Amino acid sequence: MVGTDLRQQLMNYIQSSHEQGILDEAFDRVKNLENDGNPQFLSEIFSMFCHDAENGIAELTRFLAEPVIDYENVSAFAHQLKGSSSSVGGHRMVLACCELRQASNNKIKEGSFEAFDKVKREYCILRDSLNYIAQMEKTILTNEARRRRQ
Amino acid sequence: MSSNNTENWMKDIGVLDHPSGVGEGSTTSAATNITALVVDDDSVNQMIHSKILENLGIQNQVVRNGKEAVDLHSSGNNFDLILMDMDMPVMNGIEATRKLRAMGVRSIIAGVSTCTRDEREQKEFMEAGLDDFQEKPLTTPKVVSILQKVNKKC
Repeated sequence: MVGTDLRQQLMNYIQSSHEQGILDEAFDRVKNLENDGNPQFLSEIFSMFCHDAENGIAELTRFLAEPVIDYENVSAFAHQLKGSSSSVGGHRMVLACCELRQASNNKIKEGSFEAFDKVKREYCILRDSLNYIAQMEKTILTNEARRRRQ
Repeated sequence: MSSNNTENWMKDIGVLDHPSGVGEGSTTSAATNITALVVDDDSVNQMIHSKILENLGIQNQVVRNGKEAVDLHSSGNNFDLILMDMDMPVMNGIEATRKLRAMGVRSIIAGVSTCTRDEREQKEFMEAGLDDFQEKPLTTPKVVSILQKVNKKC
């Protein structure tokens, strides 16, 4: 049955993301908060996360481009990014943010740039995963609603 | 925590009349008589914490920092439960908790913060007037345990 196939496909994808360390158990808890009363919850959370993460990355880009780096602000934004990625279960992104925070706390320029590159890479991977999951959920819910009407 | 334990506890303290499966992914069929305030500067955490409370049938509001929480109380609002983040701009959780207690606010205030927080700061947070402290990420069982712990004190 198509509905079951899609659900299985989604489960397999999430499982694979866990195995790769992209997602952790915090993601599962967020996913389980969604219910019939608000089927858009996951999409909304992921959109909010991406919006905030992109703002954070833009600020970090700005601070790290300064001739004299404001390491305090870099650390603060890295901490903020770490917090929100932890909330959606973005395990590898959390680790990358921790590295950036450590490098900036120690005022290590090269280390901060390397860690920031990692943060950006992990954000792209996480964003794509979350978008795929949200899209799959939407398709599954749309198909289920259509079947109920038939 | 199983959804049955959560339901039974909430029935016992009379905050849930018609449960229909309370847990991480379910909603109560009737609202509880508990109100809550989420104080957190992170939009994702705001949404998640608000959703956890909503799923438990707890009406809730959200503010972005300690000052907004204090202002809300100054204008006559009060809540049974306050989930207070520690690190926030404008006014952090420690200062906000102190101010609320100084204003005579007797709500359950539970501090919520990351586990890498240093012990001294956590102690300062508790001493500001918290009833409980929970590490992020907040979960449904943690919120229930906050309410359960305080209920045992009464």
